[in-house]
Parts: sequence; structure tokens; C-alpha cells
Amino acid sequence: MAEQTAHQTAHYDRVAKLLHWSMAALIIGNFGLALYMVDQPLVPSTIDLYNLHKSLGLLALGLAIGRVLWRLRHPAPPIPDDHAAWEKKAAAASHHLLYLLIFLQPLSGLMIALASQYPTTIFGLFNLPSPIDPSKSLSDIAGAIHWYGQWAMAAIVGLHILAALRHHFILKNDILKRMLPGGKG
Amino acid sequence: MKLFSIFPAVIAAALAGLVSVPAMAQAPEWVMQPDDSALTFTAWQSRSPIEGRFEEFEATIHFDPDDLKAGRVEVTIVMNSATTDDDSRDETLKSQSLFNVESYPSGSFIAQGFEKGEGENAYLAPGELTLRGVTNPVTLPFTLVIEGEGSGARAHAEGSITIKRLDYGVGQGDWADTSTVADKVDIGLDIRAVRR
Repeated sequence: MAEQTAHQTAHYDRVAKLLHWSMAALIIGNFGLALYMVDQPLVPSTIDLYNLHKSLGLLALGLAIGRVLWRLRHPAPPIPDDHAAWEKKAAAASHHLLYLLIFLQPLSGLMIALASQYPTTIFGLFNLPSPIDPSKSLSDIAGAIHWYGQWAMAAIVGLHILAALRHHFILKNDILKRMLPGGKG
Repeated sequence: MKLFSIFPAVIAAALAGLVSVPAMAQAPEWVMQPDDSALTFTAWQSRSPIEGRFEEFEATIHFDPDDLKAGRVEVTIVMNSATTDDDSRDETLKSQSLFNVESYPSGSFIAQGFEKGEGENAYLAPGELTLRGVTNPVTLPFTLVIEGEGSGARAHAEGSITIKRLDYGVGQGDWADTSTVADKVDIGLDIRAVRR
């Protein structure tokens, strides 16, 4: 049994995969939407784009919470022992940073929304109530965090993707496959 | 207050008064106290209120509760003084698509003669509202409470109306859309004045 696990790398479970890939789509989609919307003139359709960005951000926050709760009960499959100690440390560090950023980005964005003078409409369904009064200084601070956060996210996600591709195409191991749909959990 | 900017309007109003209605009895004049008066507006975005105000406006008021027909009010609004406490939104608000303050620097509300409204201290000011160069008839209901008598008496008037911004061309191009920012806009007037 012990010999077998050395060759067969355990996959992430289905829920973890679903959370991972939906979060990936949200992060990339909302990043692209953000880059587009900030260059648009302030017209009603642009307000709608901002509300879509905020709605997707809130969804991302929900997924991030769900993800942490799931992960606490369902640990990730261990990195196989044929990986160097530095690789394991680098993987752990970048994963921790990603976990930090999937909370920091929606939370700082939410803070901008709550402190702003604009209503936030979630998927056109309801307006987000704000427990705080509008505050320019608070929304500016949250805006700065959100701005730096997005580039930190872009850098870490880029590294994450490159690392996954390195495992798959250069090292030719199963690290990427562990997260791809279809494999056994 | 930019006093000089309203001089022409005041002079024009004074001249109009002299020329057109020389025989008409003038109701007592009330001098607006700018620091205690407010002209506000509420726009609606996704059913949530967006509060704004005009920081510069002037009101010339003649009012006699016993001779409403002799009354007159003229409010002149400096459109560029509009603010919603958000720089980018204010810039958009003043742009060509909305207020177009460059071409239409002032708005106005003029009512000649008042009417009694329903309820205590309630009155109506049937007049004309001009925004962005478009004039429409509107009737402003308001309450007015006077404390004291003769010169130095204090008056407090409060009124509000709901207008449709598109009736005044406030919303060109993309802004003609009302699904995100509603057509209706509430305007509130809160004026304190001292009798001359």
C-alpha cells in the first residue's frame, strides 16, 4: 500500500476542484472586467459594469469562505516526496498568499463599496445595505489596498500558473492533474 | 456667495418689476439667509437615493400672507455649485450630457403670486422651472412659518417637488437611459429669510 501511494498522486476532491476552478474563473474574469470598466466614461452602462464587478467580488468572497471551511475538513493531498524542500516551501508560501489575497481583494473592494457615495446593487437583485456612513478617506484607503492587491494577485496567480505548467510540461509529474477535472479524488 | 454673478438677474428683475407692473402693490421683501438655507436634490440610482445640493443659489422673495397674489419668488441657481460629495460624479453631473453648466450656467424657479395650500401654513407657488435652458410649469407646495412682525420678522419656508430630469434634457445620449439612474428627481427647498 505504501509503495503504491509513492507512484499514484492523490487528487483534490471534487468540491475542492469546483471551488478552485470557479474561483480561478472569477479572479481572471473580474480582473479583466475591472481593467475594462475603469477606462469607461461615467454613464449608466458603466455603473452597471461596476455593480457586476462588485457582485462577482461578493460571490468570490463567499467562495473564499466556503473554500477555507472545506479545506479545514478536507486537507489537500500531500505533495509527493520527490519534490525538493524548497519547492514544498515555495508552494506553501504562494498558496498561503493566494488564500490571503482571495480575502483581501473582495474585502477591500467591499470596503470601497460600503464607504462610497454609490449604492451597490448585487446582480440587479437587491442593494447592499451599508452599516457605515460614506467616507472618502476610508474608500481611498480601501481603494489603495484594492489596487495594490490586484497586482499582487496578478503576480501570484501568474506564478501559480507558471508553476503548474512547469510541473506538467517540464517536470512531467501529476501535480497539475491533481486539480484537473475528471481524475479520482 | 458670488454676489456679482447674480447682479444682472436682480437688476433685470427690478427693471421688469418697474416696467411691467408699476401699479401693483409689492408684497414685503424677505432676505434669504444663505447660511441657513438649502437647495437640495435627490436622484435615484438603483432605487437608492443619491443626495446632492446646490451650494450657491439666490432667492428674491416677496410674500404677504394676507395678499398672496402680490407675492413673488425668484430662485436663481448656480448650476456649477452642484455637489453630491463625489468628485467624479460631480464632474459628470456638470458635463454636457447632464447639466451642461458651460452652456447653461444658471437655472431658475420663478413664481408670480402664491396660493393657499391645504393645511396650516401650507401654500402653493405655481411657477416656471428652468433647467438646462428648458422651462416647464411646476407648482411648488411649501409650508411657511413666520415668527415676529414687521421688519426683522423671520420666516422659514420648506417645500419639495418631484420632477422628471428628461423633461429638462438632463440626460443626453447614454444618460437618457433611466434603468440605472431614474428619471425622477426630488428637489427640496429649505429657506430661512428675514423681512426687510
